[in-house]
Amino acid sequence: MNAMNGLTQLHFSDLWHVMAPEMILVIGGFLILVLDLFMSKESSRRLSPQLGILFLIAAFVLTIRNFGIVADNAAAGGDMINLSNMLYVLDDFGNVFKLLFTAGTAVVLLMSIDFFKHNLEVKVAEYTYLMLFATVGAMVMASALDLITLFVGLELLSISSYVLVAMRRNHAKSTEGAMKYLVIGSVASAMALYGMSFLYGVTGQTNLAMGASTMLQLWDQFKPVLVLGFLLMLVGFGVKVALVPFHQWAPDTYEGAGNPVTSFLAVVSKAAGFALILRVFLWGFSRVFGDIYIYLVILAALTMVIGNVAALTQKNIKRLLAYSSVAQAGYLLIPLATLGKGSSIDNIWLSLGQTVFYLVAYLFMTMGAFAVLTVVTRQAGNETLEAFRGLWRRSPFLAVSMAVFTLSMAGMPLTAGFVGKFYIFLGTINTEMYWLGGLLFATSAIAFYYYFGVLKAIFLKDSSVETHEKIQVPASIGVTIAIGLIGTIVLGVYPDAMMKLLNGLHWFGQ
Amino acid sequence: MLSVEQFLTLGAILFCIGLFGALTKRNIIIVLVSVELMLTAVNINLLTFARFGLTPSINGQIFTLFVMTIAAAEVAVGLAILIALYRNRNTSDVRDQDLMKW
Repeated sequence: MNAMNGLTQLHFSDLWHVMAPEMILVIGGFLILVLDLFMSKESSRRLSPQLGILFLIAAFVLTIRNFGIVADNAAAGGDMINLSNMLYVLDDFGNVFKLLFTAGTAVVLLMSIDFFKHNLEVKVAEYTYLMLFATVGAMVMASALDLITLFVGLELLSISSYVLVAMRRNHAKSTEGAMKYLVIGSVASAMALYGMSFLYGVTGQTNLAMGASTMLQLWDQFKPVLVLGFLLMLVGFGVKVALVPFHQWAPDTYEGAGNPVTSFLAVVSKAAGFALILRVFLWGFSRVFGDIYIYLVILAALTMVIGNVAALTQKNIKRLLAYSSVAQAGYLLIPLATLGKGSSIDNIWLSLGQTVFYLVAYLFMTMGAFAVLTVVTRQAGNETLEAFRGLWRRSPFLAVSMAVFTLSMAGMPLTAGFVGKFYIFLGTINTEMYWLGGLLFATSAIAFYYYFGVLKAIFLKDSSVETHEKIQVPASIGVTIAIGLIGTIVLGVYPDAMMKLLNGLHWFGQ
Repeated sequence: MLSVEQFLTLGAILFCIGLFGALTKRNIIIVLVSVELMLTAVNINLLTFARFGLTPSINGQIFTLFVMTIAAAEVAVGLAILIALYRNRNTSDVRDQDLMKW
């Protein structure tokens, strides 16, 4: 609010103005932590997730309020709303991601209610407040404009996720997955930090907005150092969103973690990683993007190809979804990569719209697929594709839902996944990167093959004898699946409303 | 008087030793120690730039404090997970963590 250097006094009203959703979640997390100490074990187990969902909804509503604040400010022609000299900003880019995080985590907690009933060793209150704190970390990643703050947000999300993966602590796979995630995640953080230190060294700024102009002046003189810094940061962030070749942790961690945690990693954590990548590369490197975008193109291409090809051989359904989510990260990187060819301001808004649309579609279909998977694999007692055999006979509702989600992931018309992919494809045509668009098509064709394997098991094969009884769907899981179904189909049949909303946003506060 | 290059080289060497250790060591505790070494390299870099950079500023020193704090939190969680892992598997050898493959 004032551009004075040095210390700016912060008032609570300023803080509340800019970061109300984050604060409500922090308060909620600590409240659950404290209440857990006073409540009986049973009531804590019952109430904590409900309280958590309540606070997430409150944060969701406050974020919607923030859209109004940003719009008013833009209409009045004011500067970007920020704290402490652009340390932390309030803009629609952050708001959109915050909606995604809070909604995603709320659905994850809804799924978790069923998870708690079947995993009695999981401490429910701890689980719930770690989820809330992880969401706050993700929100900080979407809104901070300073490397230090971004890093703290990233670690808040990461460290909470490590613990969440290890929550089933008597489960050998769970702890193994958590250990792998922790080791690879902290090596990645160290690499990203090493990259950030070079960025800071050359520009003398940890602030992305202020560093960007300095970087343009020094680009020619210090290009090797800055590119090294960029690459190290790309590796670090690439691990977080599981880009090939930094994806090896993902299948193991996804398999080891409980289903709700896996869907949290696949959706919220990944979306947060993309928010961070977009924030850092679009702000910090905005002036020199033409020189570095080629690395993003290479990573996107590799991720699409290897993610989809590796999924072909998977027998375990969770690993299959893990590789599929690796491949989706490749699609999601394309809109950013194409900006290297045409980085006019209109293209930036378009790219952001494509990324966010695909992320929303991805949220619905992934959450739904993991919800179906939870019930089906539990009844079958294993996590292989065999568990889905003859699902059509055992539960038509689950069978049809799973069919919709997998077809959407593959990119079948009339589903959200198709529309999302189509917008991304149009972006590659716009910027004349035809081969990347072609690769998107080709790898989607590969994806159809392995998703078809799932469909074949569901509809064509007969179930084995011992699992012939009907499947009961618990209420919380049923609601999750219904949300996923509605979202996937509505976005697929009528995407215009969503696109109109996205086009009307003041992405960076203007 | 030491020059900037010498500090940066020290940082680079430490970072490489840390990365090498994290990728090759068999004991998970040593792997965690190696990660700490990488973070120390980051701190040396940040402090060097904060003092001798093109435009020296206090930000680098503040960054270092955050890095140290978070590294401590990370390693605490790492050791806690390691204990849980050890109880399940009775080993802290990286090569034995093979329940899930490919």
